[in-house]
Amino acid sequence: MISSKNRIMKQLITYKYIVGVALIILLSTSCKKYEDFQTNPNQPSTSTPGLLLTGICYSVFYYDNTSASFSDRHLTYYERGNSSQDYSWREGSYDNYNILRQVMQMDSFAAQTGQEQYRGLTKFFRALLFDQLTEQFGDIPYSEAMQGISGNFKPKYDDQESVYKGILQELEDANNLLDDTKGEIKGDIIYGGLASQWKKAANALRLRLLIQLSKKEANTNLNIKTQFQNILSDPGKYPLFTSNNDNAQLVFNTSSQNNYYPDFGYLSLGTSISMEKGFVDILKDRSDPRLFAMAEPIPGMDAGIFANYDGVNGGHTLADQQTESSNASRIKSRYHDDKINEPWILIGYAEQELLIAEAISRGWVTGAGTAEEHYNNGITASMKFYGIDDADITTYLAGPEVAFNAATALDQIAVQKYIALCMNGGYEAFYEQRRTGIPTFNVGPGTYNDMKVPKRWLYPQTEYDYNPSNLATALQGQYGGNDDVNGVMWLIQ
Amino acid sequence: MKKRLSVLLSRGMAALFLLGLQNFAFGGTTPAGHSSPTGFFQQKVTVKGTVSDEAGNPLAGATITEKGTSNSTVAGVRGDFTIAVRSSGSALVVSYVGFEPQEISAQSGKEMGITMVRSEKVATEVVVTALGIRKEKQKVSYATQEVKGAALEKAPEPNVAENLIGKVAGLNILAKTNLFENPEILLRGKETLVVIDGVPTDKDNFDFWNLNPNDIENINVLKGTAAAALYGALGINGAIMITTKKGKSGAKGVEVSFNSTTQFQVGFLRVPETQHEYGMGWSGYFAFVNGKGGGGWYDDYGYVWGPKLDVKNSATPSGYNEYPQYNSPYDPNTLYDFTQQGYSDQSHYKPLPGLSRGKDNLKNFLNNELMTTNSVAVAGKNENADYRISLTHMYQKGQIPNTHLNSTTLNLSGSLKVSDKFRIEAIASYNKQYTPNFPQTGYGANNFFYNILLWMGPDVDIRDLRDYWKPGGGRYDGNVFVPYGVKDVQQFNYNYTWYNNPWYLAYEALNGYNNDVVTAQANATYDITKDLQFFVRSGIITNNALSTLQTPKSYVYYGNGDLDGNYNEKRQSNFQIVTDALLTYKKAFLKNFNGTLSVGASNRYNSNSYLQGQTSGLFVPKDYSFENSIGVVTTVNRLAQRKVNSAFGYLDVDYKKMIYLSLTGRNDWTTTLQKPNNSYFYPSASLGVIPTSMFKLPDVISFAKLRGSWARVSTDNIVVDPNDPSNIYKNWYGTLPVYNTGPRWNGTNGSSNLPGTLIQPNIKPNTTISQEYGTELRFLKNRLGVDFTYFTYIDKDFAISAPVSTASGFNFQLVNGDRINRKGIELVLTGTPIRTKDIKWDITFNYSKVHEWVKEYYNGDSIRNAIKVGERTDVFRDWDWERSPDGQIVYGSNGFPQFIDHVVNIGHTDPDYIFGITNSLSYKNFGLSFSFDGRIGGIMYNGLEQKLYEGGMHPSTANSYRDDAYLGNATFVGPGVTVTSGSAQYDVQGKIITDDRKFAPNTTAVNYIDWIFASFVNGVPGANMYKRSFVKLREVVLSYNFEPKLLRKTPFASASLSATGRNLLLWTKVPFMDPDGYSNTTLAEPTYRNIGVNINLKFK
Repeated sequence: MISSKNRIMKQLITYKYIVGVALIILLSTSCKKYEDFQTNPNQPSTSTPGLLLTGICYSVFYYDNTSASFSDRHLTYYERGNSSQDYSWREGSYDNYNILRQVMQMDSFAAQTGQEQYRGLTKFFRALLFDQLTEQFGDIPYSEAMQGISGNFKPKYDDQESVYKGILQELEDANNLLDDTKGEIKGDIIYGGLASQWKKAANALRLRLLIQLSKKEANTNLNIKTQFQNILSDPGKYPLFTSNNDNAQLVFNTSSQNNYYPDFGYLSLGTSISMEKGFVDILKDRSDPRLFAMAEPIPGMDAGIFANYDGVNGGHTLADQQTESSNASRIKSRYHDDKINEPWILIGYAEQELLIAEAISRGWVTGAGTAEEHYNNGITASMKFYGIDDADITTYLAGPEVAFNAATALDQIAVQKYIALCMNGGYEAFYEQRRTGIPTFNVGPGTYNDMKVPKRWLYPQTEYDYNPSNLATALQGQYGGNDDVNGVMWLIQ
Repeated sequence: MKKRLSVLLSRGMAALFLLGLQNFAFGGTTPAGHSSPTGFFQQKVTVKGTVSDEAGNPLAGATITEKGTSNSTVAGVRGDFTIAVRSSGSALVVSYVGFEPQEISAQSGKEMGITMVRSEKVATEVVVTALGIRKEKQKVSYATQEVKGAALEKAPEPNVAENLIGKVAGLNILAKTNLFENPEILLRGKETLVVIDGVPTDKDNFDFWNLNPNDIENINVLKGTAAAALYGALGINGAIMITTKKGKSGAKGVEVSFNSTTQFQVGFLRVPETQHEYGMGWSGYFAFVNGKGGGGWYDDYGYVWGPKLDVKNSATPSGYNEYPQYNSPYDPNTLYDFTQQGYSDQSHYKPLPGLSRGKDNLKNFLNNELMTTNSVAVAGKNENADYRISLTHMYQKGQIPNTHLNSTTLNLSGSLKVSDKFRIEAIASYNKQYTPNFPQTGYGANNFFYNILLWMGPDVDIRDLRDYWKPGGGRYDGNVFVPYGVKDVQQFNYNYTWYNNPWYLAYEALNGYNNDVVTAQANATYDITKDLQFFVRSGIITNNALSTLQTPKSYVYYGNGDLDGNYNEKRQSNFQIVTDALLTYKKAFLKNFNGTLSVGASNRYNSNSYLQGQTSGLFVPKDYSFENSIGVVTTVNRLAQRKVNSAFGYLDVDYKKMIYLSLTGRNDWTTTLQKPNNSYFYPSASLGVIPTSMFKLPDVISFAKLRGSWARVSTDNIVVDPNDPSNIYKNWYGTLPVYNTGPRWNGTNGSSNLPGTLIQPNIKPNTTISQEYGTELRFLKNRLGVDFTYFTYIDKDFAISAPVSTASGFNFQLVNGDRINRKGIELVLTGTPIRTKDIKWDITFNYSKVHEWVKEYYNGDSIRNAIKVGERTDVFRDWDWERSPDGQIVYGSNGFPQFIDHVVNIGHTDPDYIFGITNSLSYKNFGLSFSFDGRIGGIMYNGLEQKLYEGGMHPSTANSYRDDAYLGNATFVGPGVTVTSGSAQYDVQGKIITDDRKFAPNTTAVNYIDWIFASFVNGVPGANMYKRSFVKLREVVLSYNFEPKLLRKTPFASASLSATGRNLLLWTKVPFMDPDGYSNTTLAEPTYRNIGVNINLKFK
């Protein structure tokens, strides 16, 4: 009896033990509920137009210009094969649509809260980003783009004319929507929140787009000349840049590494990249003091003497370029050694003035001053950007190849814009050369594509894979159906 | 001595372990029973004896039970036992795993000699299956394979996983040579689960570095999905089940054992070679000024295309060509003249002779690797309790100077039979890994081989760089040398633009790591009735890891301002607790049936967090603290938590030991998915049939089993970003829409952005349906065995990021979509060609192959990433040369090779098959084992070879064409053809669609350096593709077990001495790198050969 009682006791104790262990285990395991896990502790679930705008500005303006500088022969890179340099490039990038995703999300927040300044910025950035896309490829998805959120993952393509018509209208809308009285724009790292400044940038950009369309001046659908004239005729409605202070540019700072000048610490820029010979010759031919601001002398030689500067021919083979480089100028060391260096200009006063000079020279515009005034303004603005003093600017403006000459004005303007766009403006210098043929880019045994400069990029492989029928339709209307880097798009026909 | 130890251990340690539990269980009464077991059994007859196998080897751990009672004992180290029985003549039952149980009458007054007979007809091998449930192997109807712990301890690798290479069919382990680098472990082509004593681990807080081979009793690999169905999602890709040693498997009483291994490097198995005839520079020119392009000749280029070395020149003081070099004395008052290839210049740096002095730079830099492992274990047991305590220390000295790795493991386990019905067990292990500095890997200026092999010319003797601070100290600001006059600021090197001094890297750029890992579990088993058992277990794994990276001043790392020095610290803390409870009912029914029904519940909670800080520049050299940061300290914190609750059950039924059926089912509730998709059920079924038990088969067949299984397993392992698949901080919240935080501007403006993946609602769990069929056959009294398995898995409706047109505004949408099929075979052959009294030779051959095919894409797409439906997924896609149909490279009219104008599918990367052969021979007291293994087939890109060409260090670049090129002469005709007419069209995969090309041999001579650049410096991996096949002689162990009689007068019960060798031979056609663990441009440490000595002692 005693033993059986003991056994029962023992069993009871044992049960107590099991319950105890189970309790300890359950207590030590998380007591959190399912709902407690339904928030991501690492990433926010929402945003604001201001936070998105900062991101958009960063994506657009934080730009390493070097690849574009290889393609437009401001610089040449010979460390190893590089498609931007040797013209072997194939497909381009649709990355602008990723920025447009942010733009459209900013627009959606702004629409919900009635913040119209952001809606104006939406129009500005849409015009800018779609313009860059259509310059790169030709026809692109525009009217049906950005509709994945509502289930359209295969947008149709719009022809280039429709894209331009649309984005020119969007810039008109931007001009109407942007207004300082609607309040400060939070998150604006370009103009500190002033809508009126963005308004100027939108109008300057519109001038750029209209000049890009110079081969279409007779197109009655777009009425390029009228648009240009309307903007210049009504500065009250369409304010423009009046100095370098208005430039749409990003000023770098040292607050953290990703705020430094994008080429800071770029070792190849200091060792395996040289000034391109064609560009150096342009500057030397004109005794352009900007050369001393942009380039180092040949290693071991003294600075400030034109004869001590030379470039490397970007058309030569890599080994030949390497060999030539010991007697050539590298880019000024501040580009890779200075954390702030200089601002990066998306579109600035110098370019705007040269755009106006061209429009006047082409006879599109009257009553807005002379081509020469605007031409000189543009050069002066560019030289001031590099800190050239007034006396040197005056001398330069009077130089034999520089002094305005109505007979060769279009060529002079093109050359000056090419100089002003060095390490700024992204691929704009390349597109302008494509339109004007000025200057001639060096090609040769080191370049591919049968020693031709390509005219465009192929559509991304992802479009072939995930939007094939719309792409096929677009190609049928262009380039004889072939996706070809040498295809001549509608814009420059 | 022995007695004192015994008292100490049984009273002290066991009490330490179990006291708290006992007090709880017994309500404070005196613990009874286990400390004086004989006390209960007075006035009985004491019987003594030994148990041995047919060859006379003692069977330590054999159980001797008085029939019909619970009175039993276990044989000691020498097979000896003592048991008190009711009377002489009482029946004793003697049992031991793998032997036929034997019944024998107790005989008092004499030493009983009991010889056990190995069970031949039916192996009663026991394997550990899911949840740690032990089953007779015969009952298991899916593929498993076991590795005994003893096979791991004699020639251990620092990482135990590498000791498993070749030993398990289907397990593919890529061995690494870098100190402290994780091997890649793939089971049937996928990452798998590791389970310790029934508790699943988590790869974020546990890996094979935490394991000490001396603590491993055995490793059982459950290869398929069915095997691990009870672990749920964690076990979807099988499991590596590790059982640690316990006191209960050893002998009665106290057993002290010691195991020590020391292994030394005795040369290299694979080491890259370089040319020794040309120095740094370009096109034959080099003149140092400041290593930063300050006016010398190509002194900042970093290429080794410079002057030919050892060229005699009677005009110089040394009699050789002289030019300014990195170590030239500087004299501001003297201008020295020098000449190269006809060009003259002057320099303040004194010209030095260009001599080839760096032939042995690599060997002069590296140490001989050394590894030692010492382990002491104390184990003991009696009828009611057992314990084991072990302490192990592993030390490894790396090949690279000043690199070390330490790992210390303390392992404790104990179990207590509280009553006949109630058993409890606790296991705890503490592991600490610590290294003040281990090498950084990858391709870049932080890698040693980058700075020595690829870019240091043979004109540099690495020994001259040993004093790595620049004399006087200072740094370059632009091209201006700013002297500091102190050390710790500017390293001394052969180039100040691109590279780091390797000694400076080794002694100043320290990459430290410290990780504390605790694994612990407690479990309890209670027999409610004879048939009904309750089991509960809770296991914890937690770790705290600290990684530190010190970047000294003047450190070159391409941008980011590292010249100022930096400090980075990362703390990771991970925690997992898994609790399982299981109620099991066993019953025989309907005469010939036996059934086991078990139901259970489980809870798993994981919490992982990290905190990382990074300075931006350091004010004071070598003060590695955040307070010393020049700029803003960047910090990142992350947290991921997940909870999964489960209910599960299984039913095992067998009929007459002929047919075995097993069914399992489990339902999970996870926090990772959204309701109602967060709850999902998954079943499995397996069936085994044993024809040898059913029919009379020819005698030649000893055993035959057919098995098949089916399972469907679902997981909540959502991958949001295919480029970052293991990011739990994203994936565990993968179905919740979020924004990314972007850069901050000027310290004031924050930014955010919307990710490019559109998360569709109602994401369901990933589901895998597996089928597996196999057979196990044994012939000729088990002397030949075959185990064959075929498996096929369908990944169905996996949550994938399906790519979409970027113009839609998104890059991907997260949806349930694709169907992927993975299938393969595994074959294990075992044989015993020789088995005599003295000699035994066992061979095991493992073979496996597995590949994966696309069955269906989301939305019916026919192609994605250039892989079509129906094709294999392991495609290497990149740029490649245009080639003629007979495989020759097509050259352009310019004399350079031409590449196809888009990326193409070059081939498949997975091996065709992998194999391993293990031989084990024993002759009397000698044993010899050796194993080969290899992977055959699959392609790899050898980026190391490409980089050797680029830098001018490839041995084949030292030739007369180089001399010609230096003089500007185009003399090299590239091997290949040119197209004389016609053209070829390629599809998106790179297959030729139309081809009407006609060819002629290439005859255009080009500058050799131009040819090298066009061929190898252009990002065309197709130029350096190799078959990744290799075979290695992985391990040789020769051991001697001392005769027991030799040890009679020693304190040792047993002793063995072994000589070991690892990585002794390699056969492969891949140059420069070891294809076992590496491909692409990874710069790994050379693979070394190791030999070593192992001592294994057991004390009396």
